[in-house]
Amino acid sequence: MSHSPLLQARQITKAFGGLVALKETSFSISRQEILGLIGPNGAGKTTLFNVIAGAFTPDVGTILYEGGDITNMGPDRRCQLGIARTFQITRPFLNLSLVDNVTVGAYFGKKRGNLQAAKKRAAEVLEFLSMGDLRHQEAKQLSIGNRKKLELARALATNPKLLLLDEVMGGLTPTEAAEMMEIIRKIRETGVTIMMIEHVMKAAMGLSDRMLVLHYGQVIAEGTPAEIAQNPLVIEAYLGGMKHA
Amino acid sequence: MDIQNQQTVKRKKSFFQNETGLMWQSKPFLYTAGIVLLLALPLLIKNSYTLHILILSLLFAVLALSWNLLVGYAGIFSFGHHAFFGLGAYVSALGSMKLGISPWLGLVLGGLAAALAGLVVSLPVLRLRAAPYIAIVTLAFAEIIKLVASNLVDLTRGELGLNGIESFDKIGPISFTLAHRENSYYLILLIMLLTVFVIYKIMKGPTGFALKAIRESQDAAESLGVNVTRYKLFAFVVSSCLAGVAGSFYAHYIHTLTPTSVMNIDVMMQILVITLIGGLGTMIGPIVGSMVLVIGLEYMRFLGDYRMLIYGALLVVVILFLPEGFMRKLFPKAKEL
Repeated sequence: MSHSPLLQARQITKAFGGLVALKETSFSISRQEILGLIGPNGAGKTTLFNVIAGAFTPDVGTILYEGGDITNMGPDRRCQLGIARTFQITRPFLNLSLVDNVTVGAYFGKKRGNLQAAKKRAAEVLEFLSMGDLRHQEAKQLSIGNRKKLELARALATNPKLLLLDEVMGGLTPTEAAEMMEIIRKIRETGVTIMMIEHVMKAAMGLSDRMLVLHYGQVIAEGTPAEIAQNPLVIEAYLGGMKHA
Repeated sequence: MDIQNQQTVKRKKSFFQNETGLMWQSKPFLYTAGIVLLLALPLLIKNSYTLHILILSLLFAVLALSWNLLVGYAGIFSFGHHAFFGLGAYVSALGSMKLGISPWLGLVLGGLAAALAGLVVSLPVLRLRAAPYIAIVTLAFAEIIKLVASNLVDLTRGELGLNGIESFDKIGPISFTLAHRENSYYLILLIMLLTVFVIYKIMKGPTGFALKAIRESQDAAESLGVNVTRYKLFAFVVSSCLAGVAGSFYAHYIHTLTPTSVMNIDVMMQILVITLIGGLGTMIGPIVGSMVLVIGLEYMRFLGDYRMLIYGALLVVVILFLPEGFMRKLFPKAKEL
């Protein structure tokens, strides 16, 4: 069981008009690993997330989750199966309090919920992210760093098996980023599988067990952080190759 | 001190002990005071014209409350609410005139017909995410319903209208004819309180969380497991149903209907202005907005056409300076119902 991948994407292609964002992309993620997804801007990382989370349906290809085909399933159903995500551009429920924000995830992330239990769980998750004292504030009063944490809190409240983190370090102060790394490690320790898009290399390299490099919608490299750091294709994709240097 | 007194003291204390620390802003106080005032009004006001205005303002409160469920709570910008009102009115009126169905049953039928229409309209509407498109589709739907009512001359007599629609049947000694307006007042007050109750129950439960989440961000709501389509559909159907019930009441209270009187765009405008002035996404806003606006407009009749000018100016001022509506300014806690 533990050898079968949690999620498998097979030959995913997704085009927006003439722009092919993902081109026959395949990868898989094993249980309890942290998979880092990197790549230059416009490489298709967020598109890949949207396809996994169900916001987009791929034009071609299939997505298997725990062995079942979820390619045509909506995001809400996928969430209930255990796939949760955060958004790169945070989408807090601005006019709701933090605890209400998180309660939405805690209640609807399960097939059958209980509102009181969900509220309790929401408070616990906020406490876990050390935002307990902010719980009655409205989301619109939050700083960027706390908004990123709120995104994470909501996703976490759904009790995910697979957590998709889209640049949760972006815009954080060094202290906040260090705290966020610690939180991600703690989440993994609870048995959650994590896939993260990250531009902050220190975080991506430091946290990932394995990394996937996307370039023009294709996987150009895959391996441990150390392997990736030395891969000539990756260096070329990021730095533009020796010729131009 | 007898027990009852002790209880009053205790309750008064809890009025003082709310989060804001102000008694007059506490929820139980507001609700109790409001209901007592509304119940007592017909005892204080014997003038039948004034009572008529109050009935209309309660009627518009029901319309504004139900529209607010869609727009203020769920964030679905429907501009076709008047169609559901008109539909409820026509179904109930025709049912009693052509088929001899009791107006009491008409209240239910009018609501059901509007709910069904709401279900049908919501199917194309829910595929749209941008507010302007939703507004246009719902507005067009309302126009279609109105045109159908105007042109089905054999059934509705078109713009000649339906006349002599029955009053609600007597319940024992309680009659609902124009000579007994106070009873109609209590009937519409009951409908309004039921509307408040239904919306309150919805908003306090999980559905309320789902609707507010959808209003704030559909993508995020969906990503957290909310079945966006199902909850939007629910809001649309409930909102339409309540408007239909209001329509049925209107038909049997006014006794005459024309497509223009119930389904013209100005009915929608009035619902919109009431809700915006009172405060979108609050429970008390649409009620107070309706009182202020319907009564205000009525007593500005001596100004002739200028009253619409004042109406417009008031709306502009509110949107510019009080975008959250009066009630949120007066009662910062009003948002939490």
